[in-house]
Amino acid sequence: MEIAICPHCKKEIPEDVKFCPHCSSAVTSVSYATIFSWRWADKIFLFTVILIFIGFFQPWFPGSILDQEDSLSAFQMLLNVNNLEIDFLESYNILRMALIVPIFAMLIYLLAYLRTGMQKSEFLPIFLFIIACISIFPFFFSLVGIFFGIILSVVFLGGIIFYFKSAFRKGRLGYASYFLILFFICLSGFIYQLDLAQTFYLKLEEFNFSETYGFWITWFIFGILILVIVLNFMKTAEDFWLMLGGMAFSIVGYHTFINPLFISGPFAFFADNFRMVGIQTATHIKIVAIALVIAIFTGVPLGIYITRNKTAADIVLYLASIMITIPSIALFGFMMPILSSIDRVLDAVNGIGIGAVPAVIALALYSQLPIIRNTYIAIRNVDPATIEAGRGMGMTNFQLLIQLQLPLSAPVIMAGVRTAVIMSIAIAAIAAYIGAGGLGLFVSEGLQMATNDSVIAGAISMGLLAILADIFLGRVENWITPTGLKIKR
Amino acid sequence: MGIMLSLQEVTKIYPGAEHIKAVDSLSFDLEEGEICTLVGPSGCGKTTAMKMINRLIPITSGKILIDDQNINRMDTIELRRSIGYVIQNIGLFPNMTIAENIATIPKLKGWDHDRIAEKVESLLEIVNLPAEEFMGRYPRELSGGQQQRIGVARGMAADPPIMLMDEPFGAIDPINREHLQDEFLKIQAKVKKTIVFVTHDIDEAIKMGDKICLLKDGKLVQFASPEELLTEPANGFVRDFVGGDRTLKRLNLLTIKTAMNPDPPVIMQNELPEKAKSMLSELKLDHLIVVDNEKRLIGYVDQEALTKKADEVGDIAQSTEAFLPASSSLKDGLSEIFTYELGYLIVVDEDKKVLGTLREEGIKNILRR
Repeated sequence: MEIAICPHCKKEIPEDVKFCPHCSSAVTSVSYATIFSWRWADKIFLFTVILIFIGFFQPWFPGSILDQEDSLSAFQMLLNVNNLEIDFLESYNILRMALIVPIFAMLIYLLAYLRTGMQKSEFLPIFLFIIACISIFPFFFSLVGIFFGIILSVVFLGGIIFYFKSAFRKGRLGYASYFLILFFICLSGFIYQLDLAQTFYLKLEEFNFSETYGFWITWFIFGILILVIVLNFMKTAEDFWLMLGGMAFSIVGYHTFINPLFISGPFAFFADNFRMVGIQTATHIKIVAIALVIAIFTGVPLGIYITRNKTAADIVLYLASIMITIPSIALFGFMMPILSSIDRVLDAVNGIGIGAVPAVIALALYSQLPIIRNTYIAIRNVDPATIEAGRGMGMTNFQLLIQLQLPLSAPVIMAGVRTAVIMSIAIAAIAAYIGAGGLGLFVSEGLQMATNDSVIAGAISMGLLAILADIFLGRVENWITPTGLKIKR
Repeated sequence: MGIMLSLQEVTKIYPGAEHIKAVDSLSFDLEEGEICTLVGPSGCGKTTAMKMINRLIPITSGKILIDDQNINRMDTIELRRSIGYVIQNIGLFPNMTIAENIATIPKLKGWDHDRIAEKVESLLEIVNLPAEEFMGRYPRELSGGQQQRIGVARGMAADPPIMLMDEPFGAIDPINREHLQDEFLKIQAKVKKTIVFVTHDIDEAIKMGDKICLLKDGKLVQFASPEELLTEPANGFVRDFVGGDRTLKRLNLLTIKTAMNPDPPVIMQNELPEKAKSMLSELKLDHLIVVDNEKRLIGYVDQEALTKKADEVGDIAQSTEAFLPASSSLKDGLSEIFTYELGYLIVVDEDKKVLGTLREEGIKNILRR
């Protein structure tokens, strides 16, 4: 789209003016500039969709991940669809697609985000939500059963659609395209989870439809979707080049990047076992979170107490330092006989000697040092003038603590908590050896069975978990830091 | 006015340093509404003495009475809340806004919300900081001088009859310090608190104090009004501490009024120049002050001006800046005398009515007294 601009100040002006309304200079001849009303995120979205389209010609695409020696692309299958001798439904690993698409789209989004001029848009949260949908729906079902799972999922979907209403303000076609992609991807989760596809396929057979028709119907929906999106967005020459670039990138990228990572590598492992990964991530988070809560509620008061007693401070800090030097596997080893003896006394059927309990206790012990030390240092480093003023004005020790010392040392205490969390996420991996579960399970099992993908998937998940936890706790730290402290002098 | 604060034989010995008395049998009485400056060389025990009043430091022996009540029998927290406390490093709470800082003690005392808000606003007004602008800001957004004013306002928040101030202007540059001191004295004139003011600067002590308590090695050397301290130093130490220029320091304390020659010869502006001439020669003066019919200062005439032709003295009178109100300090007066061409200073009241003249001889006489 071309608009008239002022030749001097380069701002948009009406075509027939004699003087620029912005810089007031005389306009003898109007210049023109091409503008793109698109946001960058929209282009990337399109790019991603085109990539899916191109993937249609690639052998890794859904429908082609078959138990056969020579993999075929979906396109090849379409050409040769009557000769398919495969279990269509088994091979139709739509979940893998549903997982790869947003991951891939996000990667590109983040790459593009590094470029200047990138604007934030609704798409990043949309992609995140899609991932959330796919990982959360199965949990709904496994948690509350199919009936309530459906209700929960519908409510959830409705919420998402409601939340992203703003993304739909792009005309009817745009509305339809966004809605369709969201619907399609979420539906795939449903189909997978409820075995609806199986039912669908059986129904088709009842009507004397062959599996081929099912295949065609699915791709018909998908094709329409792509058409709608492309028609809605392909407006400028730039988009064409973007699409062409996407093709080139896809072909090169498939063999160097996608195949080793997503098809046969750890991401494929992740996609195949995503439900297990989700459950173990939840276990991992649970162990670390419980340990952390215990550590905060013991470490912070202890840290506060030792600021008032030098001898106690020395002893406690020594003990905490010694604690952190004990190898985690040894600590778990100590813990097991001790807790097992409790089991024997209680005559427990499901003992606490192995599993999550010793893991939580060990992590809580390890977290003591960073939390106690940071609390101690932070409170001791509060400006003595502030404390003297408070004391002189008649604050009790408790009021000094609540109103001054804790708020003023909150950022440093929180930094200790962050250290503890990162450390705990790493150490919790070892806890898999004593049956606590968690992401360490993939590492330990992978090592036992010499499955590198499993080890790498476990390691990457833990790394991501640590990064996300750190980002989240950074936000929390920022949130609990008193506004008055954020001001630079 | 009754005695507000009374120290009786107060002694402080720190544990671990039993042979040194940080404060040694310190006694003085302070009347209501007075400022007492505790001054002395560093390590003389002045801060210790002050902190014993709100029991930040426990007393070893002796007693301190506030309103005839022994502070050791009072609840520590209640005692501290009834004493305003302003310290050298200000100690504003950086996590709280200005309003919250000022409201700290009223909140702890359980005042209701409206009363606190009202108090905060009125205090900000007293310390000359517009309430709407400053209430929501944080201490770190303020300059040192502004922070100090907030510190003073916070000290006064719960209407304490007594305030303790530990070098409140110590960390501020000299120009701002002088300004803040003046402002503080103005505030004090309004609120009339009983104040114990610790400083190491004798000039500040003389300027701020109604009474000066000079300490050395924990012992009271002299407790006197500034005037007395300057004119009758108790011993050589006081003389040295006050400094060789103690006579000049008195200039700060005395007003022009005490040294002026009242009712100087003046001439009305509508008189004939001839009359001015004859008055000049008759009184053997160099200049004659010209006033209007309400005795307000117009200017002056001298021999040279009278050679010009004019119908009235007012037409040829030269205006002058060499005048000051009678309430100004002698220091300013002396400075003005040397600044302007007249060689003396015309003393006026608030309406610019001529009250007298200030000459070097007058200042000399009063300083020798």
